[in-house]
Amino acid sequence: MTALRFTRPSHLGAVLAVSVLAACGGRNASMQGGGAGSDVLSLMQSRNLSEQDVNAALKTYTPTGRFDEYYTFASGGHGGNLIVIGVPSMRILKYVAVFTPEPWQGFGYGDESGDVIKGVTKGGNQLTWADMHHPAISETGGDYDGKWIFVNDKCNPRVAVVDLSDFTTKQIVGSDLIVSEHGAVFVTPETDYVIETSQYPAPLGGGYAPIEQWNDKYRGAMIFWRFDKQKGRIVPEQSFAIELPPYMQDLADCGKKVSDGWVFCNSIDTERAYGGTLEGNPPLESGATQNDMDYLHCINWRQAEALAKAGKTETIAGMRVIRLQTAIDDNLLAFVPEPKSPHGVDITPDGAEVVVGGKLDTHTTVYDIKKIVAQMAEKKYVGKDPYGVPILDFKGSIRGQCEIGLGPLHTSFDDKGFAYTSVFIETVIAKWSLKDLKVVQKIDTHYNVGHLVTAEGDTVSPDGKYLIAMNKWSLDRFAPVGPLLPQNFQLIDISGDQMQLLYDMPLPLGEPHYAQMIKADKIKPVDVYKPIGMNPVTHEVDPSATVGGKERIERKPDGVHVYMTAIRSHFSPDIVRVKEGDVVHLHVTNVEQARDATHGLAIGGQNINVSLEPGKHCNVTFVANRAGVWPFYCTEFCSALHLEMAGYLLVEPK
Amino acid sequence: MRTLLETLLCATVVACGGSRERDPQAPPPARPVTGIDVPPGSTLQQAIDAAPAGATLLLQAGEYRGPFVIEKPLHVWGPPTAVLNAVDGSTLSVKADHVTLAGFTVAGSGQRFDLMDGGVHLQGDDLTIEGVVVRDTLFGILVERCNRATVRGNTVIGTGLPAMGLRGDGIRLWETNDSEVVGNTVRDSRDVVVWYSSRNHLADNTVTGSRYGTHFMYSHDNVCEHSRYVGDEVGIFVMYSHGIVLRRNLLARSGGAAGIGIGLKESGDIAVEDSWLLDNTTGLYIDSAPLDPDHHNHYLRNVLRFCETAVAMHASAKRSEFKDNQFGDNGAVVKVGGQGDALACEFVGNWYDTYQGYDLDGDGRGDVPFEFRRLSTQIEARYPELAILHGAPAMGMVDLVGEVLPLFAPRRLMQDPAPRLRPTAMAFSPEVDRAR
Repeated sequence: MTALRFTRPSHLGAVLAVSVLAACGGRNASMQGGGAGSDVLSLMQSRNLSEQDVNAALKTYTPTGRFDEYYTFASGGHGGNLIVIGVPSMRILKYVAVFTPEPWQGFGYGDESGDVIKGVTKGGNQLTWADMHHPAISETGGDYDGKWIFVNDKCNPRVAVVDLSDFTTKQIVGSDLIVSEHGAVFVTPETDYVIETSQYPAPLGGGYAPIEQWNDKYRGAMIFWRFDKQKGRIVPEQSFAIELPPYMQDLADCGKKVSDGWVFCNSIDTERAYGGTLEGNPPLESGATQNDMDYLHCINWRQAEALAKAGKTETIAGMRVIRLQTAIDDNLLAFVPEPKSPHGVDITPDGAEVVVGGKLDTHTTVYDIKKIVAQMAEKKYVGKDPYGVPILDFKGSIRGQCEIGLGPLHTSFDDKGFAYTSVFIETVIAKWSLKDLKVVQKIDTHYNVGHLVTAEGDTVSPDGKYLIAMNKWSLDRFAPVGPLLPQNFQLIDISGDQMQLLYDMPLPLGEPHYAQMIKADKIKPVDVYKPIGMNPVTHEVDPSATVGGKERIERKPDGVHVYMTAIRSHFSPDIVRVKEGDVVHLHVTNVEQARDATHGLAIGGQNINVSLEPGKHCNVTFVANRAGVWPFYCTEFCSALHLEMAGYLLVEPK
Repeated sequence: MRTLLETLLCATVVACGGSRERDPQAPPPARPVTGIDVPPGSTLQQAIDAAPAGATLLLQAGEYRGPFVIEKPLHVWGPPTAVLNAVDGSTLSVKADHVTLAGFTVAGSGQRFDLMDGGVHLQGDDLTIEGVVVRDTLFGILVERCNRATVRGNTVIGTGLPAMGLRGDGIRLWETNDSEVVGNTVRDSRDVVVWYSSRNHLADNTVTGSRYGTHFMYSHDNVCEHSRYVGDEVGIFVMYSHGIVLRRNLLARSGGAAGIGIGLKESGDIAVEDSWLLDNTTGLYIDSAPLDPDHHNHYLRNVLRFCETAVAMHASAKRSEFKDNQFGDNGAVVKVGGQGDALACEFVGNWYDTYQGYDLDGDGRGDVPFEFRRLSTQIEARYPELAILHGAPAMGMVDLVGEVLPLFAPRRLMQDPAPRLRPTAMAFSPEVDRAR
């Protein structure tokens, strides 16, 4: 027997040992079980599990009361809300309402947090959904600090701020400068700015121009939303934008460490095709993929910030905009060719390089930022685009390329010098060495992997350990549920030399695009709202908050004010008498401080349901426009007498 | 035994496709009887501009400095020693209908990928490029938005740069329909591309030392036949396309970890027939193909030999027929990802060198089914890192243990109820040496 030739004796030995165990089997070899039929080998046999399956189960199973090692925040795609998942168990921990009304959290069903989503309208149209793509956790020194998470809306350009102290949405901002976006959101290493970049070109500031005037009238823009870390809010007045040519700007990433002060954004459709299949033009998809290369946008944002501060801007739709010519004149923007319908642009943990994957290429291209910055400083260009933006030499800007396989999209990193690239067309994750640009392993995904995320993989100090392949299709992976299938998140162990698939998680809450995976100990949320009466939108005790014994109903010129408390298991007051047509201002405070003692307040006939976490105060205003008897009650099962936690809104006819 | 066979086979493959000395394959196009002589120098563009529509320009041995643009119907002929070159942009651009280019050489072009600098850039209807040699250019022959183009007997020699990504495409059909791409030779290039292009006929082409021998994307009802793909990373890859016929092709030595003879992704109504898939890392790669429930794929009378894996599926494939193929000397007949199997595929009447059944009724078909259920393949699928031991005695022992200890019961991956005892005769075999 030539067993000595094994290069990995221990591993193979283990496989053989388990196999032989299985073969010669037996109960003698079984672990402690719960009686006949539940020893490990019998279970494996009856459930048709391999040793590898059991190994994966042991790596993910999280017994009751144990916590996960990581949080993953996945965008909800056109579900518009943010999904929080524990890793490695892949249990959903929370569904954070952001852009889409969500009644469990009362979001959009009465209280002021719901007003957050009504803050930004488009042409006066109320928006009740969003296409959320790329979440970004706030950073300090280029590392996740776990304080806020920002998310975008591709369809109606908006950026939301979610506070991770209570996992709720605090603010939504949007600018009419652009009409769609995609390169959003990415934060600068100190979270000074949150970046939002347009996707489909249009006249800046909105308005109409015939599509034939695309080249002259249509433009893109990158918005730098100023974030005030003290207040935890975006300050639109201190924000600015840079005008860009009418290409479809795509993903972006902010420089860090040696490249701090720079932002890189890729583009597609530098052909400036705009479709028109009924008008004799090729479809957008072929028109926009015709060129072999598009342009990586290299932007010196520090210099842009200085220009904005110096007032070298023009205000369009309320946004201070550095015009394209100014950006060119001040040498803060240059292009480098990038292969073939680029998608992901990801900066290496050391900040020295940018990895770009082309959707239709077979390589990732690794750009050396030093070379880019040097060429820009020397104004060493090979040409200019039709708008005068300087173009740098492709070969002179790269360190090299790694042959990955067809359709590399996004790249994330680990702590051992490896990069992981999702490969859409080949439907695999490729692990490759940053040092020598060689693939070391590929692992199948099922199916059509889009983004991927590794633990803290886009920070200055990735953790390795886990990777989630965010697959667009699930096809045959789960029990059928009709024609609309869930996404498939596949958890992959990347702690060893070889990647190992651990778990398939169906995700039926929208279509996640990107995610952030952060060490759990960096997230320090509050248990309850303190002090009692806190308004989570303002993060201060609400002036209308009330305490036990001070409940009252007051008729004022602007309507009837009801100062109410909720405690297990009653509302006080529990009878509210108003007249038909009265404006009712309900000020309700959950005066509990016990963890998880949440109440809901639903009122019949009014489309109202608020969530009252312990200590939280909500203000709800409505018109009692229909005479009648309307029960209100607690919607969150709170105690043995939860059913009795109810009252009556009596609306007397006029 | 296997080593010897492999050596013989590789020698054959080299002889029939891998030689670097064989192009151009056809004699250069003959000089037209009449035409306007254009001596070497810088006057070609002027001659083009001055010539009446439909005229014939006759080049001579020597150098013509471009770039050149043709914007009217015209015929341009030159001997192979007439060399057009340029250092910026595409060397020869055609933006007109009814233009014929024949015989000459294009050497050198601009090097900007973002401008797609190439040797010859064709845009128009009823264009012909024949017997032209293109070398030292970034891209070779770009055929863009053309109808009824003829690309015949040309030779494109790529840069052969070690980094594939820094090479350009050899021949590129883009939104080009109803065209003939016949008898061309492409070597050391990146890809031959057929994108958004339908109803084209590709035949008798040779692509060697490149990345994708031919890459169909969103391109339907194309035929690719009698062509040889040797030493490319992938012979033919068909993606998001339907109605493709691939027949009588040779796909050999598609090497490297990702080496594939023929790959199909989400493509249907594909026929792979009478082809030789030899010494590829993976012979056939099937990823969700067919996807459309109305589509079926057919793999008929092919030879799959000396592959690490003859047929690799990303997951269980369906609506696929494998009939009268030959499977021999492969590491594995089938590998299926995602813990799937190939039981929903119809394997009928194939020949397998490892079939151990019998044929008592003498009908040429085995009386017991052929099943592929090798434990080592299964273990390798679960532990990809063990692939390094593929073919090693250790894995052989695993298989042996699997056979003698039924408790192992390796999973069945495919079944052929009527395996052939002898391979079917091939209707086509790549010529031993076409150059002779």
